[in-house]
Amino acid sequence: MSGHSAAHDGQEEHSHFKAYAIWGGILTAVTVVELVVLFEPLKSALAMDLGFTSLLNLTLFVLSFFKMGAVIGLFMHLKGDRRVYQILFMSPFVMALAMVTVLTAMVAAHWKAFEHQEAELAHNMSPEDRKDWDEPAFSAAYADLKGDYSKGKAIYDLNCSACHRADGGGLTGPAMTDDCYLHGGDFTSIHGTITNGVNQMPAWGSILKKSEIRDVTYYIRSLRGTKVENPKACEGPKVK
Amino acid sequence: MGHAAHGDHPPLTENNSLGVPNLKLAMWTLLGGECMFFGSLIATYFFYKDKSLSGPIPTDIFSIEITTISTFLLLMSSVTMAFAVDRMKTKQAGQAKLFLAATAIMGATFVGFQVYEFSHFAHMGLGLGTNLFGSSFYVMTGFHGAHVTVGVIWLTALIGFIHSGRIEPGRYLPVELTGLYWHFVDLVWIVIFTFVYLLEFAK
Repeated sequence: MSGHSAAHDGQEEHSHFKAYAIWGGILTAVTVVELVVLFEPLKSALAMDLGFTSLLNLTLFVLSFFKMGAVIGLFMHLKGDRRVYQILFMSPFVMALAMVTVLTAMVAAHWKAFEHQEAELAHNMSPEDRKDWDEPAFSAAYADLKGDYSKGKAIYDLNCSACHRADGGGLTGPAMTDDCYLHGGDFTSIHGTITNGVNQMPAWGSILKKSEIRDVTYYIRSLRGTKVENPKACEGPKVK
Repeated sequence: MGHAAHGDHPPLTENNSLGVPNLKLAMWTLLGGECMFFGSLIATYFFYKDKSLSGPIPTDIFSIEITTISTFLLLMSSVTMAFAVDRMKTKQAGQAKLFLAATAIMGATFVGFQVYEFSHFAHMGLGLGTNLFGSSFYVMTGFHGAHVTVGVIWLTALIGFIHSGRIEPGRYLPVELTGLYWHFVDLVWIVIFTFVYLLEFAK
């Protein structure tokens, strides 16, 4: 056909108005579905865990990718367009997708392993350990307990003394020497507070090993009841 | 090597071996790069959003109502953008301008909603430097909003050029390129809408 030039890129001048209108309607409908599934009863119906994510999340992913495909393929006209455009765009698009997926999966895996460790620790406490922690008068005879006191002290001096003071009297962080605990004074609570952090306190779980946190927890517990100069005032409820 | 009267006009000549308009090649290259740009901002958001030590978290402040309206606005603006390109192709410049104006108005309204949402979040205690969620969220959606703003200005200028005759009826390449940019901006929002907002509400 005379008049057909390379400038057209394979697109003719006839109107696709109706097609755009129809696809606009389809994309609107898909968006409505995306919203509807977030409410009952569909939200519960799709709550099934598939391992890597939930069925609800997967539904949202699929619907979203459908919309992306429609916008790229039809509105941006990449479907049936010159190969050079398709490669120029789809390569980085896929790369970006891969980057986001890999990073998200890495983070999810890390936190999953972490949570598993935590659950393990809580369940592995022996009855004797539990009894010791519940005793109101914690004696200085902590040498025969399971944690390593001297290792715990070393970790405390290095990491904790800056905020809680070397003698445990408290600085920006609360004192460790009284019976007042903001987030629980039993082994599991102290261990959890150190691991997960709270407010200004970092989550030491990503920095210290599980055994190290255990050791410093024992050391901290041993500071309770010790006499120090000018300790911080009581913060939080008194525990037995 | 005859070139048709419609499509591209001189001095725009295809001096590349592919025979495609240079500007269109450039636009697709830009959009490819923007995929990586927004991809990294979104990935960073995913990485940081649940790691804040203090301050508001997503479920504290996200509102599905505002977000839904924004999404429909941008989606419809993509439709009117497609209409505008179509009308330029069929040499109906008057209608093309109307559809471009509709696109620009919807885009501007979207930006308005974003500004409202940001100030609402700020009042609830989420600033750029408040926590990891705040910094990653504002940078990601802020850059998207900036892209929409640039697009609105671009559309306005385009309407002016068509109106003044600087872009002749039938020369639809400039409008097509604008469309590519605008659809991409909508595409990024589709990703943000689902993966940033909807997934929070799906918890």
